[in-house]
Amino acid sequence: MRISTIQLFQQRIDALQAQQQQLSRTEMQLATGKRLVTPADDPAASLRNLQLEDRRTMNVQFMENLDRAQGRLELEEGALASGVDLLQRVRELAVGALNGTNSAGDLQSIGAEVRSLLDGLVGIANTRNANGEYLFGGYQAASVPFADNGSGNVSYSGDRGNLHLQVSPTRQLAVADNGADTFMVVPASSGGTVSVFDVVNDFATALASGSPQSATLTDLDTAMDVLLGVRADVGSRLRAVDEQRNVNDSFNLVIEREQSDIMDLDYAEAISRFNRELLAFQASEQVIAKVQGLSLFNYLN
Amino acid sequence: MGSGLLDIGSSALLSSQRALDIISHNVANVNTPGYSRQRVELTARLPQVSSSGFIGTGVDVTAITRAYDQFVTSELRTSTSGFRESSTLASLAGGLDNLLADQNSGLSPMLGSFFDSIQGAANDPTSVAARQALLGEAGSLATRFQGLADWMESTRRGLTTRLDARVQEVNHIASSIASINQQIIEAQGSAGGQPPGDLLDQRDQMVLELSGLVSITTTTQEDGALNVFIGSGQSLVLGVQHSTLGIAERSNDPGQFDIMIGAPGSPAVAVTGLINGGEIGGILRYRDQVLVPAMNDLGRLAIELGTFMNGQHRAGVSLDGLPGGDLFSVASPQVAADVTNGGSIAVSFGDVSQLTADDYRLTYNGSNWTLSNANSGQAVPMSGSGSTADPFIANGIRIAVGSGAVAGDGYSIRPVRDGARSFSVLTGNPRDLALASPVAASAAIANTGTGQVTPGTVTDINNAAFQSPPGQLSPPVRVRFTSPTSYEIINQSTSAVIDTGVYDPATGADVFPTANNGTDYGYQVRITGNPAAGDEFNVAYNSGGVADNRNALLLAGMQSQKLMNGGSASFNDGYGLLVADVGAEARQAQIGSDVQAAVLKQSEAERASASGVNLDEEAADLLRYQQAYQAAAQIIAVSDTIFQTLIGAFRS
Repeated sequence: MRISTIQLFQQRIDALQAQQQQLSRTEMQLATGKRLVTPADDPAASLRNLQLEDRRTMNVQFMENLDRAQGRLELEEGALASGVDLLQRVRELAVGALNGTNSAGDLQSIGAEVRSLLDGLVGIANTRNANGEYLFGGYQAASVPFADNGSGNVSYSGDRGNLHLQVSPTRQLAVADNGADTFMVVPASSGGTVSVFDVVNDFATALASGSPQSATLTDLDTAMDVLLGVRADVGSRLRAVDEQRNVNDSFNLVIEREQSDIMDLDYAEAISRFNRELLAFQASEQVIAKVQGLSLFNYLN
Repeated sequence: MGSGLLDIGSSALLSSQRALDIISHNVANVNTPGYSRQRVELTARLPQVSSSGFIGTGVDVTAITRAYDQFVTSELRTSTSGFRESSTLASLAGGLDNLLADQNSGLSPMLGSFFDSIQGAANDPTSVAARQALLGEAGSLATRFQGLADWMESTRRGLTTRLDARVQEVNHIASSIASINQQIIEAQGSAGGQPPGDLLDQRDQMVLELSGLVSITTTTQEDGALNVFIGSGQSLVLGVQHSTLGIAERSNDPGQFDIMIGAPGSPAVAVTGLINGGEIGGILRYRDQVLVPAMNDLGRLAIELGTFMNGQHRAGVSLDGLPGGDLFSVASPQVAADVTNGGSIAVSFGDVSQLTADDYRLTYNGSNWTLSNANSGQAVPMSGSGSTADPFIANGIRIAVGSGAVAGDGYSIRPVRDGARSFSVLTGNPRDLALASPVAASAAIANTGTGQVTPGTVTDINNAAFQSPPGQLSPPVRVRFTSPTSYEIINQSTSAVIDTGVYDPATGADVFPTANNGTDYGYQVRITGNPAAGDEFNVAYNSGGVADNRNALLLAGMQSQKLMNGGSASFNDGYGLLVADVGAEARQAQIGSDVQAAVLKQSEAERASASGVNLDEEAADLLRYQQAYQAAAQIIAVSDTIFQTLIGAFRS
């Protein structure tokens, strides 16, 4: 094939430019640590990365939700533990009051202590969190859920809603137990349903009148069982939080590994490629420098 | 005898000189773009007849030809058009893909953080700060939608400017070709039909430049003039006449420009769809097949996201117990009526999950309305009669036809074009975010059974129970068990029994619609467990339910719900599909551009091989003709010597 002079020059420039483009691309890859310099380099891979990134940030949010769930559940667990402790103390007093050796005055003073414990119990049932929400108010977290009418009758004005948080794409976890389920539904030994407060208040009233009933012990045990039941439930949900965290963690690992496979640069390969390209580029430059001077006109003298 | 020697010598001297001239011309034009090397064609003169045979009389220069290959030249034009089209498309589409698929500039991360912020608010429904963060993220999402739409719109405007500049270049080249045609006709006439090589080279170079702008075809006239055609055979240059290209905005699609061609003395006609190749072809392909569909797709996403979020938000109640309003503003379909229309239409959205990114034409032939795809022209089936009560429904849009329509009425409908640009946040007060559900069902505390009730889910917020008046439940309802297996539903306000139902503790019961008379209040509650006779479950408006995040969870859940493309794609999937489409176009264009670049390189090499100047070759020719010249001069010297010898013989 006949070669024209301009073509010869053009070919050399083209070859140099192609090599320079390769070099600058490899340089960019090395500088960013990413295989793809722009999304258009591999649209399919960058789309996949976009989707994975979406899943990853979603997962990050679920981890945050789990932290919040844990905080809320631990606070509730603490309140329930205090409630159980308090009932335990009332039970001790009941055992003491029922041993038949107490004078009327003794019973009066035990009654006074039980009454103040009842106030404590209402206080626990009206626990608020850092946001000022009443833990046991159901959805009605802005208003005081439990109120004493002055004579020891405690009523509940909250509802039976329980806040749930989303902890995985498909799982919602209850992070609250409303006051009705926690404090208001104790099956009474005499039949029917009473509240935890009723049990304590009835005991205090009986002490005031000097005639404590042995049924009080049974009712106190049942009340404690209700609270312990809720507490056990909270405990199992706290374990669920941990489990879900592990699940989300391993899901995250899977995503990050795939993202790395798609996007990250193989440094060893890139560096050896860079050296190869640099060598070829230098060789081309030297060849051009040598060939450039050749022309028959040099000899026409 | 002696004069023969002198004639032959001078003819040789002259032709060598011509050849040396041409060689110098070649060397001088070694770097001239489009130059074809020239050659002298030498022919031996007719010999004289003598008794001893034919005696030669020297040499003549019969022609000066250029090294030119018609096939290679036209290949070069075709590959130049192809390369410029695909490289223009590749660089434009690559730019759009880089914007849309980028982790920072794209929509995807904003969509993610918006939904994250809903979950943040759901974690703390009473927290005004968390609600404020949600509004902030909603604002960022809206800004990103608008930003992308603005970028695309300003790109489209920029393309119009670029098209205009290229069209003017085409006009300039066309007029130059027409005037060089004139010169070639004259030169060829005066040279007795000999082709004027340098003029032809110049014209070929102009035509090549033109090929870089738009695909062309050519024919050569007998007199040497070249005719140039574009599109499907519209003449750009005819002999010494040329047409003029221009751009014009479509009357029914603002911002969209057509390419017009006007032959001398006739009105301009649009040739946009007929033009291809070259930079202009690349720009048009990018604009009409990548950019505008992407604008529509983004608009569609904004409209679907806005509509679904609004729908769910309306089904909630605010921190102050008020019904939720619209969270985002959603654009209306863009409709452009033809100027000659007699009637009018009203277009609105129906089931937005059915929306497509297409634009449509609605036409009336005097008896029937026809909807067609604006790009492909394919008919789109519509249901309905077109009346306000029973509008035409097709692909998520509803069209109600007004009175006065006459045959020939036409409308351009672009349902989703404005979607992204008009997407903005309507709710400004964080307390107005409706994160709670309006229904709160609860078991009465005095119940003795173990029956439980779900808090309730809204199935239709537009039900009269919620809407007359809004902000309360009309009526509040009580479900009372008359036995462990039967219940009655009671209007709490009037104590009237609405309906009764049978209960199976093994399966539980969805209370609504009620079992016998099908009463439906737009919500559902489910009772499970073992209620005892006399147990009651109350359903009331959820006022004061500040720690309720049920609606927030439903809003957040829309992130992974498949609400787009008729229920097959989530919002992020929908955006991903847009990015994938643009990415595939960019990738394809890049591959096409690489292929075309190789083809172009090959054509250029072939042309350079056939027509280019090689300096070494010219140097060798220079030597050759220099020697021939020296030899010819020697012939003249010898003829002189012979003459002198003859004179000398007479003298002595």
